[in-house]
Amino acid sequence: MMPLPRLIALLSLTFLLTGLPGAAPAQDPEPQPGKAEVYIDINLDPGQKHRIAICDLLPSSGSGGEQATYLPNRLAANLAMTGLFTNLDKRSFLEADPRAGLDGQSSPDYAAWARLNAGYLVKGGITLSGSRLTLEMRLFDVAEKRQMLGKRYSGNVKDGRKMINQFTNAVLEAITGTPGVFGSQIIFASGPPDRKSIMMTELGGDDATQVAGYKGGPSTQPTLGPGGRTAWVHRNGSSWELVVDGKVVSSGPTHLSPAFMPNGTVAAAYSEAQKTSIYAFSGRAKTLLAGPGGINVSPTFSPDGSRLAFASDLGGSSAIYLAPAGGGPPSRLTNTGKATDPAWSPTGELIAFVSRETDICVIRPDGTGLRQLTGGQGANYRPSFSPDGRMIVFSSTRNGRQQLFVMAANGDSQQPLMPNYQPAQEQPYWSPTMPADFK
Amino acid sequence: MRKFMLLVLAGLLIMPLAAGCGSKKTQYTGSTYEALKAAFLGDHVYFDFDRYNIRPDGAAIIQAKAAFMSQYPGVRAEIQGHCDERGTEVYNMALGDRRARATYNYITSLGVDGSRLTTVSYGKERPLDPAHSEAAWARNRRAQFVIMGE
Repeated sequence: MMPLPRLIALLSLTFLLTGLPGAAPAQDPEPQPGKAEVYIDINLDPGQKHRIAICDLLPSSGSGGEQATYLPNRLAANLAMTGLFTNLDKRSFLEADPRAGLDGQSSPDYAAWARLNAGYLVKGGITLSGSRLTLEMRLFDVAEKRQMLGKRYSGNVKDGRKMINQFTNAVLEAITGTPGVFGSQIIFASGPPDRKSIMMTELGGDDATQVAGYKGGPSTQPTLGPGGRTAWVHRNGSSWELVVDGKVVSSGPTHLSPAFMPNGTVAAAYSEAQKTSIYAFSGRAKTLLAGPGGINVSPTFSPDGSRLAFASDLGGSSAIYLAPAGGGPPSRLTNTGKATDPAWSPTGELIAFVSRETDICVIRPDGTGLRQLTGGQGANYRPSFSPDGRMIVFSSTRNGRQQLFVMAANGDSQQPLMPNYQPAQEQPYWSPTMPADFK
Repeated sequence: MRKFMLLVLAGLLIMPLAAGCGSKKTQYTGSTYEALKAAFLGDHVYFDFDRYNIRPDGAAIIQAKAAFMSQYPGVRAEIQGHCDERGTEVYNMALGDRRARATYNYITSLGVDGSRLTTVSYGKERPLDPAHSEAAWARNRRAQFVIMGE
């Protein structure tokens, strides 16, 4: 719930701005009277968003170049993407001295920021010297009138985005108690349906690099494993290949939906004469993991590796089933109509899946807590949880093309992962671990 | 002269091999063959939504294809499994695979040698009808034969 003094402050500010001609541009979205902007969604858990003001970076000398606005804009986009923050409009910033608080001695004009109802404030300095970039980033708690964080990053100018991702994670840890996962890798398939290649991006990135190009047929359904390992499938003519760490480990009939088990073994669906079943592939040998129905695909493993979830048509239409990873009878998890593309959260608490060929749902492994996260916005496929389990990446056709989206794990704050990336994007998979050079 | 004879012999040996190995050269001609071939390529085996069991109408189509392949034993074919646009990539790829496999299983049960056939799934990649309607979806849920050698 919104604390009463803040509500009063918000309403009086609204009055103030609307009462002063020209003070608030008509297109300014903040703030609006009567709008319960602190609520995520009336259909979801009521939750308060943190209001944060992020200032452009100020150069210590000379010019900070485009980075002075690009980098704080990336920070704002990152924080908005978590679903936990509302970014205040820069045009509303009232502080007289923008350098106040930047030298480590003075303080920001907390009263000016409190008038904007800002809970938190980010200020930073930028130094560009040749290709060397130095950022000094500070996070302030406006109500408590104190600096919460001071971080200095230095490196090549091309690492600016990485510095901002690291600072985003530090801000999230300082405010929510849990560090963020910006900089974590997301692998996906890109391109026209029968010419797909494998690409990699990161949370907090706005472009992608190629992992595997087009080779006579599509490469698709990529996945990531411990230590940055990769697996995907590739169709070459009428033959399929299971590619693990860039090498073909199995080929011939249709191979689908590879997934790493926590111990590093790769499981995938494999087509035989009478059914498509899930096998573990180890060297040249393969071991049956699950095959109760005619179609059994999309294995995903509990974090302790003891169980797998998969999609099976055992009951007629596809549903999500659970089974012991060492073999044993399957139990049906979902009864929501056709269910496919299961993904087990790295925290173990939830399994996301696609319901009725359209929408992302989550359910707990004990069958309780079913919740639909998308609705009425295109076809949404292949959910995958962030390493901390707080976000989900998926593909959606809601903007008229195949595009990767992210959302909070409660369905809030659904938005494109890379709004400016034009090629078709689908089949995302989020790395279960952070890159080695991230804390 | 001896060299020439060797070349002729080698040619005689290679010719039938080449005909059986996907050479573009067609050993069958004539209007009967062309008409039957058009039906072989144009008549598809259709499936119900989310299913891969052979329906009675599909069984009749496959029987006609088996007769064609018996009449022309040099014909080799690929059975392609296809799905409508709804649903996830993985599941549709598996569903198309099962449709191709079910068609393969039925036609080989009618006596066609399995070594003359391959199967492949294209999932929802290659719709016959790009429309987003029940009628289009019904046309796209199919097993389709493509001649790989004749």
